[in-house]
Formats: sequence, C-alpha cells, structure tokens
Amino acid sequence: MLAQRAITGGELPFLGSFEDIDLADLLAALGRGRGGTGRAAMPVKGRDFETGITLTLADARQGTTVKLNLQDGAGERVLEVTVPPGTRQDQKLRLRGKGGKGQHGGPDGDIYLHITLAPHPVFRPDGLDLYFDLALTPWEAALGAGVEVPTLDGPVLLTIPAGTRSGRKLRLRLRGRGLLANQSDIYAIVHIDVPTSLTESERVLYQELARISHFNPRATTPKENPT
Amino acid sequence: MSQEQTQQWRSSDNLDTISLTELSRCCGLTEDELDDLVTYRALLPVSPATPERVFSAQWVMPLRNAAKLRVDYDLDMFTVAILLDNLTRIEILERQVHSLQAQLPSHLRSDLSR
Repeated sequence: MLAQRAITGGELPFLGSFEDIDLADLLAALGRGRGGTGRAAMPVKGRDFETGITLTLADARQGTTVKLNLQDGAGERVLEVTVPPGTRQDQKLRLRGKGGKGQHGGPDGDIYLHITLAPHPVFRPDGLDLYFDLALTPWEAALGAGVEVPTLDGPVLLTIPAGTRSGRKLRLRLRGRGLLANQSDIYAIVHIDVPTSLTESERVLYQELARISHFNPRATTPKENPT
Repeated sequence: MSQEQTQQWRSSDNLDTISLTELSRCCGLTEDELDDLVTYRALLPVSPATPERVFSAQWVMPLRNAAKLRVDYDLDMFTVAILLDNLTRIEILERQVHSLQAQLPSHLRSDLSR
C-alpha cells in the first residue's frame, strides 16, 4: 500500500522509501495521475491464427468440411469449417472474428487458411483451370482423330484437328462442375509420341512416307553463319 | 464445436476487395500508416480517384508479412514500403511460375527438377 500520503488526481505519488510498495497500487496511482480517475485498458484485438490445409482436387472444386485445431491461451479448440467450392492452389481464405477473443472490447482475431492442393495423377491446376498431357500418335496428329480424354466427370471424346503440332493447347470448354460450370476449362497439352520399336511393315511405311513427303520441320530455322 | 457457413470466408486474392479500415484490422498497421504506403505508391487502391479507399484483398497477406517484419526488425514505413513492393513481386512471380509449371508437359517438368 502507498501509505505515505493520499494521492489525488493529477498528483504523482511521493515516495520517501521503496519499502512496503505494492506494484499494483503504484501502477494504479500512475494511471490516476494521467487520467484523473484511472485509465481504461486499451482494447486489444484477439490473436489471429494462420494454418494450412491440403485438399484433394475434387474437394477443392466441390467444397468440403475440415476440422481446424486451434491452440491459444484458453487451450485447444476444434473448429469445423466449410471450405467453399472453387478454392485454388495457394489461395488464402480469411474467417473473420473466429480467432482468439479480443480483450477490453477489442475485436476477436481472424483465421487465415492457406490452401494447398494435393498432386493429382492426371490434372495440374492453374487457378480454376486444369491441364493434362495428351499423348498422340504421329498419324493422329497429322490426320486428326477423335480421342477419349479424362475429365473430373469421366471421359469425353475430344476432336483432334488435322495438323495438330506438339505443344498445342486444346481446350475443353467449361468442363467444371457445379458452381464452377461457367468458370473452369480443361486444357490438353499435346505431346506427339513415336514408337520406340517398329515392325517391318511399319518401317516400310515410314520409309515410304519419308520418301514422298516434302515436309521439313527445320525449313524456317535460320542457317548458321559458318564464319 | 461450431460449424461456420461458407459465405463467412473472405478470399485474400484479387477477386475480393477490402476497405481501408478492414485492411488495417487485418494487418495490424494503422490507417495512417497504410495511407503512408499509398503515398509511397507501395499500396495501390482499386480506384485511386474515389475518396473512400478500397483495396484488392490480395494485399492482405503481403501486408501482414510486411507488418510482422516491421515489428521484428523495427523498420520505418519507407522501408516497409520497399519490403511490401518486393513481397508483392515475389508473390506475383510465384503465381506465374506455378501457372507455367501447370502448362508445361510432364516430361519437361521432370527434366527441370533434376
């Protein structure tokens, strides 16, 4: 207790000795000295939580429910939250006011959720779009063809235009599901593959093609200057 | 245990916008400090001409990171502006790398990772 003298508003305590001083009384006295009747505690925002989850591609597109384990001074709590459909790789979602409790009238904290997508065996996501590799035979690429390709809803027939080159991007429009139906495309990246071994008849046909074809893929390559 | 509704989530990317007050609440910088960053052209409002400041929500995460580093290293606001600019660039480049990787055929991606 501060026993030496009574403290009035605006007056700092006179401390003749440090004996018998209670820190709480001292701080209270300092507060009265500044504010006259005591100082209100400052509002403090509650703690923000940052956490990450890994979703499958299907869950990210359809939406899913996940449980978040949050640990703070009050202990551990589990929050079950619904992740909205159409989340993307590296997306950050914020759940306002669901973090730690604010103090002295301060707002509650937020939860920040970092989304990671688990690798998919076929598709590579880019935003809401999906990419996959489409291997074609040389004759499918040259003549055009209808080939079965995967989508998240099952296989569909994709028309390959004649003269398709390796590296070309073919789009299956609006193959997203549900809420993503008008926002998401699937792209096939064409890769022309060749057989590593040929039967005799195949070899003969390729040799015949080589003989009669005038196609030269290096025709536009600038000639190297020998000097 | 409580279950949150889908619509309560806010996306911290360029598909959503956020007010100056809310941005201040998210990143722990005062509105005056955010105004400083706007003055330094490190933080760009969606529409600079309008009096009320509205920002793309994609500023939230780089600003939070910059604000943390500011506290850790006792940085002034001009340094925070430079930091924010670099953090934003890194995020844009990471997105571009990810996008290009998605479009690259698998056999070329595996070549790159060697």
